[in-house]
Amino acid sequence: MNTEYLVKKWLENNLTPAEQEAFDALEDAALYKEIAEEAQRFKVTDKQRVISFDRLNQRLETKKDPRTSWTGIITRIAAILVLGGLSYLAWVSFSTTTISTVVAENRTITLPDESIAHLNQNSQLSFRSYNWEEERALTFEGEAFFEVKKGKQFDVQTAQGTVSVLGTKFNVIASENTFEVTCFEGLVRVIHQKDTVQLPAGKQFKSLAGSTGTQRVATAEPYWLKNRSVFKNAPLAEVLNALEQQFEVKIEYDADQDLYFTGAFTHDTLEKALTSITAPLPIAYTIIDSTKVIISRTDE
Amino acid sequence: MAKSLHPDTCDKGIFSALYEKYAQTLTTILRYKYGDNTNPADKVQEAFITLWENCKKVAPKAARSYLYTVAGNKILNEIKHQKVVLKYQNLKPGEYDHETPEFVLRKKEFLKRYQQALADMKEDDRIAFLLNKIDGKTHQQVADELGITKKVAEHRIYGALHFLKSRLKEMT
Repeated sequence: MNTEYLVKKWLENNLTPAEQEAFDALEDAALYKEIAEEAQRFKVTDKQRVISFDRLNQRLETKKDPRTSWTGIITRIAAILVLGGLSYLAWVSFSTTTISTVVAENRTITLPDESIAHLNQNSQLSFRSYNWEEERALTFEGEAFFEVKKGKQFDVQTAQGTVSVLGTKFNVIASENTFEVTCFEGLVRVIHQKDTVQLPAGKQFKSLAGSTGTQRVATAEPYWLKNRSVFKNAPLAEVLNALEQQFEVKIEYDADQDLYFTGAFTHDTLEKALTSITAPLPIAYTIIDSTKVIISRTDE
Repeated sequence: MAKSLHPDTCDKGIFSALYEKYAQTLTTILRYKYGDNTNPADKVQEAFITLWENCKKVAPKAARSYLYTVAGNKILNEIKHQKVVLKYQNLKPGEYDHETPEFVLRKKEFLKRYQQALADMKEDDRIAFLLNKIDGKTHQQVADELGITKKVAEHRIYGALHFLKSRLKEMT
Protein backbone atom coordinates (compact mmCIF):
# COMPACT_ATOMS: atom_id res chain seq x y z
CA MET A 1 0.00 0.00 0.00
CA ASN A 2 1.17 3.52 -0.85
CA THR A 3 2.76 5.28 2.14
CA GLU A 4 1.51 8.75 1.19
CA TYR A 5 -2.02 7.41 0.84
CA LEU A 6 -1.81 5.80 4.26
CA VAL A 7 -0.36 8.84 5.95
CA LYS A 8 -2.99 11.13 4.44
CA LYS A 9 -5.76 8.83 5.58
CA TRP A 10 -4.18 8.68 9.01
CA LEU A 11 -4.02 12.46 9.15
CA GLU A 12 -7.75 12.46 8.53
CA ASN A 13 -8.37 9.78 11.16
CA ASN A 14 -9.91 7.80 8.38
CA LEU A 15 -8.00 4.54 8.41
CA THR A 16 -9.80 1.20 8.19
CA PRO A 17 -8.55 -1.38 10.74
CA ALA A 18 -6.56 -3.07 7.99
CA GLU A 19 -5.01 0.22 6.92
CA GLN A 20 -4.29 1.10 10.56
CA GLU A 21 -2.31 -2.08 10.82
CA ALA A 22 -0.40 -1.22 7.68
CA PHE A 23 0.27 2.31 8.98
CA ASP A 24 1.54 1.05 12.32
CA ALA A 25 3.89 -1.19 10.42
CA LEU A 26 5.44 1.78 8.64
CA GLU A 27 9.03 2.55 9.48
CA ASP A 28 8.21 6.10 10.60
CA ALA A 29 4.86 5.43 12.27
CA ALA A 30 6.16 6.20 15.75
CA LEU A 31 7.73 9.44 14.57
CA TYR A 32 4.51 10.48 12.81
CA LYS A 33 2.61 9.91 16.00
CA GLU A 34 5.13 11.78 18.08
CA ILE A 35 5.04 14.73 15.69
CA ALA A 36 1.28 14.85 15.80
CA GLU A 37 1.23 14.56 19.58
CA GLU A 38 3.92 17.07 20.32
CA ALA A 39 2.30 19.67 18.06
CA GLN A 40 0.05 20.30 21.05
CA ARG A 41 2.97 21.91 22.81
CA PHE A 42 2.83 24.79 20.38
CA LYS A 43 -0.69 25.52 21.44
CA VAL A 44 -1.66 29.10 22.03
CA THR A 45 -0.33 30.53 25.28
CA ASP A 46 -2.36 32.76 27.57
CA LYS A 47 -0.50 35.69 26.18
CA GLN A 48 -1.88 35.01 22.76
CA ARG A 49 -5.43 34.63 23.93
CA VAL A 50 -7.57 37.58 22.94
CA ILE A 51 -9.14 39.71 25.63
CA SER A 52 -12.87 39.55 26.25
CA PHE A 53 -15.12 41.80 24.24
CA ASP A 54 -16.05 43.74 27.36
CA ARG A 55 -12.46 44.74 27.84
CA LEU A 56 -12.09 45.68 24.20
CA ASN A 57 -15.29 47.63 24.53
CA GLN A 58 -13.77 49.70 27.31
CA ARG A 59 -10.97 50.63 24.95
CA LEU A 60 -13.50 51.52 22.29
CA GLU A 61 -15.39 53.78 24.68
CA THR A 62 -12.29 55.86 25.23
CA LYS A 63 -12.13 56.33 21.47
CA LYS A 64 -14.50 58.86 20.05
CA ASP A 65 -17.74 57.53 18.64
CA PRO A 66 -17.01 56.80 14.98
CA ARG A 67 -20.64 57.06 14.06
CA THR A 68 -20.43 60.80 14.05
CA SER A 69 -18.64 61.85 10.91
CA TRP A 70 -15.28 63.21 11.93
CA THR A 71 -14.44 64.87 8.68
CA GLY A 72 -17.74 66.73 8.91
CA ILE A 73 -17.05 67.94 12.43
CA ILE A 74 -13.47 68.85 11.66
CA THR A 75 -14.58 70.77 8.57
CA ARG A 76 -17.08 72.66 10.65
CA ILE A 77 -14.55 73.42 13.39
CA ALA A 78 -12.02 74.53 10.80
CA ALA A 79 -14.60 76.77 9.15
CA ILE A 80 -15.50 78.35 12.47
CA LEU A 81 -11.83 78.88 13.31
CA VAL A 82 -11.08 80.42 9.92
CA LEU A 83 -14.13 82.68 10.07
CA GLY A 84 -13.37 83.58 13.65
CA GLY A 85 -9.77 84.31 12.82
CA LEU A 86 -10.70 86.41 9.81
CA SER A 87 -13.30 88.42 11.65
CA TYR A 88 -10.91 88.90 14.54
CA LEU A 89 -8.24 90.14 12.12
CA ALA A 90 -10.76 92.39 10.44
CA TRP A 91 -11.99 93.64 13.77
CA VAL A 92 -8.46 94.31 14.94
CA SER A 93 -7.44 96.12 11.78
CA PHE A 94 -10.62 98.10 11.14
CA SER A 95 -11.42 98.87 14.72
CA THR A 96 -9.84 101.80 16.42
CA THR A 97 -7.24 101.18 19.06
CA THR A 98 -7.44 103.71 21.83
CA ILE A 99 -4.77 104.15 24.45
CA SER A 100 -5.09 106.58 27.29
CA THR A 101 -3.12 107.50 30.36
CA VAL A 102 -4.36 108.79 33.69
CA VAL A 103 -2.76 111.24 36.05
CA ALA A 104 0.95 110.66 36.64
CA GLU A 105 1.06 107.79 34.18
CA ASN A 106 3.42 107.63 31.23
CA ARG A 107 3.13 105.07 28.49
CA THR A 108 5.15 104.20 25.44
CA ILE A 109 3.19 102.89 22.47
CA THR A 110 4.67 101.24 19.43
CA LEU A 111 2.56 101.92 16.37
CA PRO A 112 2.15 99.34 13.56
CA ASP A 113 5.12 100.76 11.58
CA GLU A 114 7.29 100.80 14.72
CA SER A 115 6.96 104.51 15.13
CA ILE A 116 6.87 105.28 18.81
CA ALA A 117 4.58 107.49 20.82
CA HIS A 118 5.49 108.36 24.43
CA LEU A 119 2.28 109.39 26.13
CA ASN A 120 2.45 111.78 29.04
CA GLN A 121 -0.21 111.79 31.73
CA ASN A 122 -3.86 112.52 30.97
CA SER A 123 -3.49 111.81 27.29
CA GLN A 124 -5.43 109.79 24.78
CA LEU A 125 -4.39 108.43 21.43
CA SER A 126 -6.47 106.51 18.86
CA PHE A 127 -5.42 104.86 15.64
CA ARG A 128 -6.46 102.16 13.21
CA SER A 129 -4.06 99.34 12.30
CA TYR A 130 -5.73 98.77 8.94
CA ASN A 131 -3.67 100.22 6.07
CA TRP A 132 -1.45 101.97 8.57
CA GLU A 133 1.62 101.96 6.31
CA GLU A 134 -0.31 103.88 3.63
CA GLU A 135 -2.21 106.23 5.86
CA ARG A 136 -0.50 107.05 9.08
CA ALA A 137 -3.01 109.12 10.97
CA LEU A 138 -4.01 109.22 14.60
CA THR A 139 -6.20 111.38 16.73
CA PHE A 140 -4.71 112.72 19.86
CA GLU A 141 -5.30 114.78 22.95
CA GLY A 142 -2.92 115.58 25.78
CA GLU A 143 0.85 115.50 25.55
CA ALA A 144 3.04 113.06 23.70
CA PHE A 145 6.44 112.73 22.20
CA PHE A 146 6.55 111.04 18.83
CA GLU A 147 9.44 109.25 17.16
CA VAL A 148 8.23 108.68 13.62
CA LYS A 149 9.83 106.16 11.28
CA LYS A 150 10.54 107.40 7.79
CA GLY A 151 7.71 106.71 5.39
CA LYS A 152 4.42 108.15 4.20
CA GLN A 153 2.99 111.26 5.80
CA PHE A 154 2.30 110.88 9.50
CA ASP A 155 -0.62 112.93 10.81
CA VAL A 156 -1.39 113.75 14.40
CA GLN A 157 -4.91 115.13 14.42
CA THR A 158 -5.96 117.16 17.44
CA ALA A 159 -8.92 119.35 18.19
CA GLN A 160 -6.62 122.37 17.82
CA GLY A 161 -4.87 121.43 14.59
CA THR A 162 -2.98 118.82 12.70
CA VAL A 163 0.72 118.01 12.82
CA SER A 164 2.10 116.35 9.70
CA VAL A 165 5.54 114.86 9.38
CA LEU A 166 7.49 112.46 7.25
CA GLY A 167 9.77 110.93 9.84
CA THR A 168 11.01 112.81 12.82
CA LYS A 169 10.80 113.34 16.56
CA PHE A 170 8.39 115.82 17.97
CA ASN A 171 6.36 116.63 21.03
CA VAL A 172 2.72 117.66 21.00
CA ILE A 173 0.68 119.22 23.74
CA ALA A 174 -2.98 119.51 22.88
CA SER A 175 -5.24 120.49 25.73
CA GLU A 176 -8.26 122.75 25.96
CA ASN A 177 -6.42 126.04 25.62
CA THR A 178 -2.86 125.03 24.84
CA PHE A 179 -1.51 123.73 21.56
CA GLU A 180 2.23 123.31 21.55
CA VAL A 181 4.37 121.43 19.05
CA THR A 182 8.10 121.06 19.54
CA CYS A 183 10.21 119.57 16.79
CA PHE A 184 13.36 117.78 17.93
CA GLU A 185 14.44 116.21 14.67
CA GLY A 186 13.46 116.57 10.99
CA LEU A 187 10.71 118.85 9.80
CA VAL A 188 7.17 119.16 11.10
CA ARG A 189 4.26 120.88 9.42
CA VAL A 190 1.77 122.36 11.83
CA ILE A 191 -1.69 123.28 10.62
CA HIS A 192 -3.37 125.49 13.17
CA GLN A 193 -6.66 127.07 12.28
CA LYS A 194 -5.82 128.77 8.95
CA ASP A 195 -2.07 128.91 9.45
CA THR A 196 0.42 126.38 8.20
CA VAL A 197 3.79 126.52 9.91
CA GLN A 198 6.90 124.58 8.89
CA LEU A 199 8.76 123.72 12.06
CA PRO A 200 12.40 122.68 11.73
CA ALA A 201 14.38 120.86 14.42
CA GLY A 202 14.88 122.89 17.58
CA LYS A 203 11.78 125.03 17.05
CA GLN A 204 8.59 125.13 18.98
CA PHE A 205 5.15 126.28 17.92
CA LYS A 206 2.91 127.45 20.68
CA SER A 207 -0.65 128.64 20.80
CA LEU A 208 -1.80 129.74 24.20
CA ALA A 209 -5.01 131.57 24.89
CA GLY A 210 -5.34 132.93 21.36
CA SER A 211 -1.77 134.09 20.81
CA THR A 212 0.52 132.01 18.64
CA GLY A 213 4.25 132.09 18.20
CA THR A 214 7.34 130.16 17.29
CA GLN A 215 10.41 129.95 19.46
CA ARG A 216 13.65 128.03 19.81
CA VAL A 217 14.20 125.16 22.19
CA ALA A 218 17.56 123.65 22.98
CA THR A 219 16.79 120.18 24.16
CA ALA A 220 16.95 116.87 22.34
CA GLU A 221 13.76 115.49 23.83
CA PRO A 222 10.98 116.84 26.02
CA TYR A 223 11.69 117.23 29.72
CA TRP A 224 8.72 115.23 30.83
CA LEU A 225 10.39 112.17 29.44
CA LYS A 226 12.98 112.74 32.14
CA ASN A 227 10.29 113.34 34.74
CA ARG A 228 10.64 117.11 34.64
CA SER A 229 8.33 119.91 33.57
CA VAL A 230 10.16 122.84 32.06
CA PHE A 231 8.83 126.35 31.50
CA LYS A 232 10.19 129.40 29.83
CA ASN A 233 8.67 132.67 30.86
CA ALA A 234 5.37 130.94 31.51
CA PRO A 235 2.52 132.54 33.44
CA LEU A 236 2.37 131.23 37.00
CA ALA A 237 -1.18 129.98 36.35
CA GLU A 238 0.08 127.67 33.61
CA VAL A 239 2.84 126.33 35.81
CA LEU A 240 0.56 125.73 38.76
CA ASN A 241 -1.98 124.12 36.48
CA ALA A 242 0.67 121.66 35.30
CA LEU A 243 1.64 121.04 38.89
CA GLU A 244 -1.95 120.36 39.90
CA GLN A 245 -2.30 117.81 37.15
CA GLN A 246 0.99 116.12 37.87
CA PHE A 247 0.44 115.65 41.59
CA GLU A 248 -3.34 115.59 41.71
CA VAL A 249 -3.58 118.39 44.20
CA LYS A 250 -5.72 121.47 44.46
CA ILE A 251 -3.66 124.65 44.65
CA GLU A 252 -5.22 127.80 46.05
CA TYR A 253 -3.69 131.05 44.99
CA ASP A 254 -4.56 134.57 43.97
CA ALA A 255 -5.34 134.34 40.28
CA ASP A 256 -4.45 137.93 39.46
CA GLN A 257 -0.74 137.58 40.05
CA ASP A 258 1.41 138.92 37.27
CA LEU A 259 4.27 136.48 37.76
CA TYR A 260 6.19 134.52 35.12
CA PHE A 261 8.21 131.42 35.75
CA THR A 262 11.29 130.18 33.95
CA GLY A 263 12.66 126.90 35.15
CA ALA A 264 11.63 123.33 35.82
CA PHE A 265 10.00 121.24 38.47
CA THR A 266 10.64 117.57 39.12
CA HIS A 267 7.94 114.91 39.20
CA ASP A 268 9.54 113.13 42.13
CA THR A 269 7.79 114.70 45.10
CA LEU A 270 5.31 117.53 45.55
CA GLU A 271 7.52 119.26 48.09
CA LYS A 272 10.56 119.36 45.79
CA ALA A 273 8.42 120.59 42.91
CA LEU A 274 6.85 123.37 45.04
CA THR A 275 10.26 124.47 46.26
CA SER A 276 11.55 124.67 42.68
CA ILE A 277 8.64 126.89 41.67
CA THR A 278 8.42 129.13 44.69
CA ALA A 279 12.11 129.73 45.38
CA PRO A 280 12.80 132.13 42.47
CA LEU A 281 9.50 133.97 42.94
CA PRO A 282 8.19 136.12 45.78
CA ILE A 283 5.79 133.43 46.89
CA ALA A 284 5.66 130.72 49.57
CA TYR A 285 3.72 127.50 49.85
CA THR A 286 1.92 125.70 52.63
CA ILE A 287 0.95 122.03 52.25
CA ILE A 288 -2.36 121.52 54.04
CA ASP A 289 -2.60 117.83 53.22
CA SER A 290 -1.84 115.53 50.29
CA THR A 291 -4.66 117.07 48.25
CA LYS A 292 -4.45 120.77 49.09
CA VAL A 293 -1.74 123.41 48.83
CA ILE A 294 -1.98 127.15 49.51
CA ILE A 295 0.36 129.58 47.77
CA SER A 296 0.65 133.11 49.02
CA ARG A 297 2.78 136.15 48.20
CA THR A 298 5.61 137.01 50.53
CA ASP A 299 6.40 140.54 49.30
CA GLU A 300 3.11 142.15 50.34
CA MET B 1 -26.67 43.30 -5.74
CA ALA B 2 -29.03 42.73 -2.86
CA LYS B 3 -28.75 45.35 -0.20
CA SER B 4 -27.27 43.90 2.95
CA LEU B 5 -29.45 44.14 6.03
CA HIS B 6 -26.62 45.84 7.87
CA PRO B 7 -24.60 47.98 5.52
CA ASP B 8 -21.94 48.73 8.10
CA THR B 9 -20.43 47.39 11.32
CA CYS B 10 -21.22 50.40 13.47
CA ASP B 11 -23.74 48.55 15.57
CA LYS B 12 -22.26 47.41 18.89
CA GLY B 13 -24.22 44.15 18.77
CA ILE B 14 -22.94 43.26 15.32
CA PHE B 15 -19.47 44.39 16.24
CA SER B 16 -19.33 42.26 19.38
CA ALA B 17 -20.62 39.25 17.43
CA LEU B 18 -17.81 39.74 14.92
CA TYR B 19 -15.36 39.90 17.77
CA GLU B 20 -16.58 36.68 19.36
CA LYS B 21 -16.51 34.96 16.00
CA TYR B 22 -13.18 36.07 14.61
CA ALA B 23 -10.88 37.48 17.28
CA GLN B 24 -9.42 34.21 18.54
CA THR B 25 -9.36 32.33 15.24
CA LEU B 26 -7.63 35.21 13.46
CA THR B 27 -5.12 35.43 16.28
CA THR B 28 -4.44 31.72 15.99
CA ILE B 29 -3.93 31.81 12.23
CA LEU B 30 -1.71 34.88 12.44
CA ARG B 31 0.25 33.22 15.18
CA TYR B 32 0.87 30.13 13.09
CA LYS B 33 1.78 32.33 10.20
CA TYR B 34 4.06 34.85 11.88
CA GLY B 35 4.93 33.37 15.25
CA ASP B 36 4.57 34.49 18.86
CA ASN B 37 7.05 37.33 18.79
CA THR B 38 4.71 39.41 16.69
CA ASN B 39 2.00 39.48 19.39
CA PRO B 40 -0.85 38.53 17.07
CA ALA B 41 -3.43 38.91 19.85
CA ASP B 42 -2.48 42.58 20.23
CA LYS B 43 -2.52 43.09 16.49
CA VAL B 44 -5.96 41.54 16.13
CA GLN B 45 -7.17 43.75 18.94
CA GLU B 46 -5.77 46.80 17.17
CA ALA B 47 -7.36 45.62 13.95
CA PHE B 48 -10.74 45.51 15.69
CA ILE B 49 -10.22 49.04 16.94
CA THR B 50 -9.34 50.12 13.42
CA LEU B 51 -12.47 48.38 12.18
CA TRP B 52 -14.55 50.26 14.75
CA GLU B 53 -13.06 53.56 13.68
CA ASN B 54 -13.85 52.76 10.06
CA CYS B 55 -17.07 50.88 10.72
CA LYS B 56 -18.99 53.03 8.26
CA LYS B 57 -16.91 51.80 5.39
CA VAL B 58 -16.91 48.08 6.17
CA ALA B 59 -19.90 45.77 5.76
CA PRO B 60 -20.14 42.83 8.18
CA LYS B 61 -19.59 40.43 5.31
CA ALA B 62 -16.27 42.03 4.48
CA ALA B 63 -15.18 42.36 8.10
CA ARG B 64 -13.24 39.11 8.34
CA SER B 65 -10.95 39.77 5.40
CA TYR B 66 -10.65 43.40 6.47
CA LEU B 67 -9.52 42.37 9.96
CA TYR B 68 -7.20 39.73 8.58
CA THR B 69 -5.56 42.20 6.23
CA VAL B 70 -5.24 44.98 8.81
CA ALA B 71 -3.82 42.73 11.52
CA GLY B 72 -1.50 41.03 9.01
CA ASN B 73 -0.21 44.37 7.75
CA LYS B 74 0.39 45.57 11.29
CA ILE B 75 2.49 42.48 11.92
CA LEU B 76 4.36 42.79 8.64
CA ASN B 77 5.15 46.42 9.36
CA GLU B 78 6.67 45.33 12.61
CA ILE B 79 8.64 42.26 11.67
CA LYS B 80 9.82 42.75 8.11
CA HIS B 81 12.18 39.80 8.07
CA GLN B 82 12.06 38.47 11.56
CA LYS B 83 12.24 34.70 12.08
CA VAL B 84 9.05 32.89 12.94
CA VAL B 85 9.15 31.52 16.45
CA LEU B 86 6.40 29.45 17.99
CA LYS B 87 7.02 29.01 21.65
CA TYR B 88 6.42 25.57 23.06
CA GLN B 89 5.43 24.75 26.58
CA ASN B 90 8.25 23.08 28.38
CA LEU B 91 7.86 19.64 29.80
CA LYS B 92 6.12 19.66 33.09
CA PRO B 93 8.01 17.77 35.82
CA GLY B 94 5.22 15.23 36.28
CA GLU B 95 5.45 14.25 32.67
CA TYR B 96 8.89 12.85 32.83
CA ASP B 97 10.07 12.31 36.37
CA HIS B 98 9.67 8.60 35.92
CA GLU B 99 11.54 8.71 32.66
CA THR B 100 15.21 8.16 32.17
CA PRO B 101 17.48 11.18 31.89
CA GLU B 102 18.24 10.13 28.35
CA PHE B 103 14.57 10.28 27.47
CA VAL B 104 14.18 13.76 28.98
CA LEU B 105 17.23 15.02 27.14
CA ARG B 106 16.06 13.56 23.87
CA LYS B 107 12.61 15.09 24.32
CA LYS B 108 14.07 18.50 24.94
CA GLU B 109 16.24 18.27 21.88
CA PHE B 110 13.30 16.98 19.88
CA LEU B 111 11.16 19.99 20.79
CA LYS B 112 13.95 22.41 19.97
CA ARG B 113 14.33 20.87 16.53
CA TYR B 114 10.57 20.75 16.12
CA GLN B 115 10.44 24.48 16.76
CA GLN B 116 13.22 25.14 14.31
CA ALA B 117 11.57 22.96 11.67
CA LEU B 118 8.29 24.84 12.09
CA ALA B 119 10.16 28.09 11.64
CA ASP B 120 11.75 26.88 8.44
CA MET B 121 8.57 25.42 7.03
CA LYS B 122 6.45 27.00 4.31
CA GLU B 123 4.00 29.40 5.88
CA ASP B 124 0.88 27.92 4.26
CA ASP B 125 1.81 24.37 5.24
CA ARG B 126 2.48 25.38 8.80
CA ILE B 127 -0.87 27.14 9.20
CA ALA B 128 -2.85 24.25 7.80
CA PHE B 129 -0.93 21.65 9.78
CA LEU B 130 -1.21 23.43 13.13
CA LEU B 131 -4.89 24.24 12.68
CA ASN B 132 -5.39 20.55 12.12
CA LYS B 133 -3.14 19.19 14.82
CA ILE B 134 -3.36 21.81 17.58
CA ASP B 135 -6.87 23.11 17.13
CA GLY B 136 -8.22 19.73 16.06
CA LYS B 137 -9.91 21.12 12.97
CA THR B 138 -10.87 18.65 10.29
CA HIS B 139 -9.45 19.01 6.81
CA GLN B 140 -12.73 20.50 5.68
CA GLN B 141 -12.72 23.05 8.50
CA VAL B 142 -9.14 24.01 7.75
CA ALA B 143 -10.06 24.46 4.10
CA ASP B 144 -13.03 26.68 5.03
CA GLU B 145 -10.97 28.73 7.42
CA LEU B 146 -8.27 29.44 4.90
CA GLY B 147 -10.53 29.75 1.88
CA ILE B 148 -8.96 26.82 0.04
CA THR B 149 -10.29 23.47 -1.19
CA LYS B 150 -10.22 20.39 0.97
CA LYS B 151 -7.75 18.82 -1.43
CA VAL B 152 -5.32 21.70 -1.04
CA ALA B 153 -5.68 21.62 2.74
CA GLU B 154 -4.94 17.90 2.75
CA HIS B 155 -1.93 18.45 0.56
CA ARG B 156 -0.54 21.18 2.82
CA ILE B 157 -1.01 19.19 5.98
CA TYR B 158 0.67 16.21 4.47
CA GLY B 159 3.48 18.39 3.12
CA ALA B 160 4.04 19.79 6.59
CA LEU B 161 4.15 16.38 8.20
CA HIS B 162 6.53 15.15 5.55
CA PHE B 163 8.81 18.11 6.11
CA LEU B 164 8.79 17.63 9.88
CA LYS B 165 9.50 13.95 9.52
CA SER B 166 12.53 14.55 7.35
CA ARG B 167 13.88 17.13 9.80
CA LEU B 168 13.25 15.05 12.90
CA LYS B 169 14.08 11.61 11.61
CA GLU B 170 17.80 11.76 12.31
CA MET B 171 16.89 12.17 15.98
CA THR B 172 15.36 8.72 16.35
